[in-house]
Amino acid sequence: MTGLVLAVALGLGAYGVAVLEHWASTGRFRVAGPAISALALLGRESILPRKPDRLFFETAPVLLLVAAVLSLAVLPLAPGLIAADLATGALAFNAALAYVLVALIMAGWGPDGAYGMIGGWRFLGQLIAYAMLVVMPITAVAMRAESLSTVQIVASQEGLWNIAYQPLGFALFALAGMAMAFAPPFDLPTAAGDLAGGVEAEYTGVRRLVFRLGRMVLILSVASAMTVFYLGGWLGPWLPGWAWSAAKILAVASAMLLGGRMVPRLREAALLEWSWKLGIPLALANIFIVGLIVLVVPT
Amino acid sequence: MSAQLFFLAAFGLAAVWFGIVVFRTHSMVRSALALLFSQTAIGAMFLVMQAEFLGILQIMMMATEMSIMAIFMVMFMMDPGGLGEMDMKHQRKLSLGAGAVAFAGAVAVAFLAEWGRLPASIPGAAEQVRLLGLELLGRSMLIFESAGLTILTAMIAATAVAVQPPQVPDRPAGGPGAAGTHGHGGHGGHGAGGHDHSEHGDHAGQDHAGHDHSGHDHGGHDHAKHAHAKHDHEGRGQEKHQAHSGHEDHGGHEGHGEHGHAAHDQAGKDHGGQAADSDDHAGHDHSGHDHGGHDHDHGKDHGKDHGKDHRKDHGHGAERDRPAPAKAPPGQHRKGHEENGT
Repeated sequence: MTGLVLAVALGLGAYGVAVLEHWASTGRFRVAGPAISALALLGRESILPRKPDRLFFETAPVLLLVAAVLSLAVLPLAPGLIAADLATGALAFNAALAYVLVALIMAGWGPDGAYGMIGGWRFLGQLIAYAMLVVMPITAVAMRAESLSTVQIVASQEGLWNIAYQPLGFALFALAGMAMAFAPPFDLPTAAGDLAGGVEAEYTGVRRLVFRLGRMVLILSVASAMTVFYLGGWLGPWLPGWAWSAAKILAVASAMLLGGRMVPRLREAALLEWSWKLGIPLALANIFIVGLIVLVVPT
Repeated sequence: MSAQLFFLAAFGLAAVWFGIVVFRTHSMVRSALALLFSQTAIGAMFLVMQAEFLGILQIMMMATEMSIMAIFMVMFMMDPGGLGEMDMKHQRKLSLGAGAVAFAGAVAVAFLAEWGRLPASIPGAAEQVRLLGLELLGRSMLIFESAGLTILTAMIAATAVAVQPPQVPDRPAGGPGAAGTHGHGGHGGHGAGGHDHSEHGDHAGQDHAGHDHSGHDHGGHDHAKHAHAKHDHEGRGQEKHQAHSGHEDHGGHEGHGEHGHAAHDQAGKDHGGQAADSDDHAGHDHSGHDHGGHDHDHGKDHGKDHGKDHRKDHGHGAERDRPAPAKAPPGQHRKGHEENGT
């Protein structure tokens, strides 16, 4: 039963993110839009490039989708409404999303095309930039919760949400999460302007549909993680827990998608430089500050 | 229990199979990713054996590590896609032997080692994390900190090796540290051997005022001291060399000598031995050029402009019949030579 509810929630969530993305990029709010686009993609021919690495080409979109779904599995929607309540949930989230990188490298290498290849390897550089900034703020979150379990992490925010407890960590995680989901200012691997779609460029038809679906679930996953780690998950007055979770996740997703459109795309070098020279010292400072608060302030 | 055993065996076989695939494919990227999935299968084996933290960690770390390895293989191998069917095997017997010995060793350890008593009950996943944390920050702290420090040292050393020193004459690109702010980058291109020096000959033998050497003032080379603009190279005579005698003392020009000397040789021929002193002179002229090299376009423009200017205005000195550089068309060089007739 829980599984069914979660599957429906996953479908609705991914669809909602697709609607939001269309709204963020074009300004038109079309509820039926993604369904029509999906049908159109299903109807189109799925072209195979001339000399592909067929195995990678076919695997990549599926792997992207699977990685994103697995990362969502460890994030709770409400008490008891979680696919896998692992004791190492916060780490498992990262572990699953590490395979987004693998999927994009495969998608870049597979079709044997220049734009895709550049996009795929670009994302590897992007990972070098964002990876630490995803893990280190989560470390501070886990320090406060004294647990890596995502359920425990939400429970630890009963008195004060982490966005207020460790705002620095939230800011870093939000940016790094957007980079992880290659959302607009960090959309280097797809880069519509300079790479003509990058890793997506050679995908058409149903393969592209799976790729896009994976991308939507990935954005949903990152938004859910922000909600669980920093915005108190299901916590909130009056409404039931799942409703709070859903509202927060969609709000975070729209803020992410809309905010990213306001900023020009970063250069790879600038992203790396800021991440390592500014981001990591700040993340260390965040861990230090949270450590002090955890030790000094009685719970 | 039987389900556990089944999955353990399945993931174990998957790990072995992907390990075999590593050697069966010609594509470097396939090979790297096969190794990744072999390691991921081992992580899944950890999970099946209820070592949750270790399993997740293994699955997480390998994804990034193997991807980075893949890009290094792509960068360094001649045929990363395996499309050229190139045979990249070497030291076949040695590696076969080493593999056999290592395999025998691993099997021997598996059978001969005293593994101790099996634990009666496996602690819960959360408890495992706690115990592992206590272990890492207690008894094993020294080992892990030493390992961490070693890796950090290796990282710093690798970065230091990778950052190219700016004064290497053969490479136009300087290190990242030197990039960006130089006003006069382009002449690094001149360092690429003896071909470009007809232009340098211009520099060496002629009016430096036209060169705007103030822009050459890179890292540590205080060209204000050299005051190129003041040297009257047009004279090509003793004044010039006197003026340049002061340059001998200026340090910091190591690595530019090659460049400078080549230029000097040309100048020397044309000046018929007048340029007794101009080793130093030439070295100074071009020292700045080596430092730049970050902006090739600029370099080209600069080179052309200078070449033309010199041919028109002062065109003499350099041996213009040398193989012409790509930067300035040979015909123009010759023309300049004839015009000036030195």
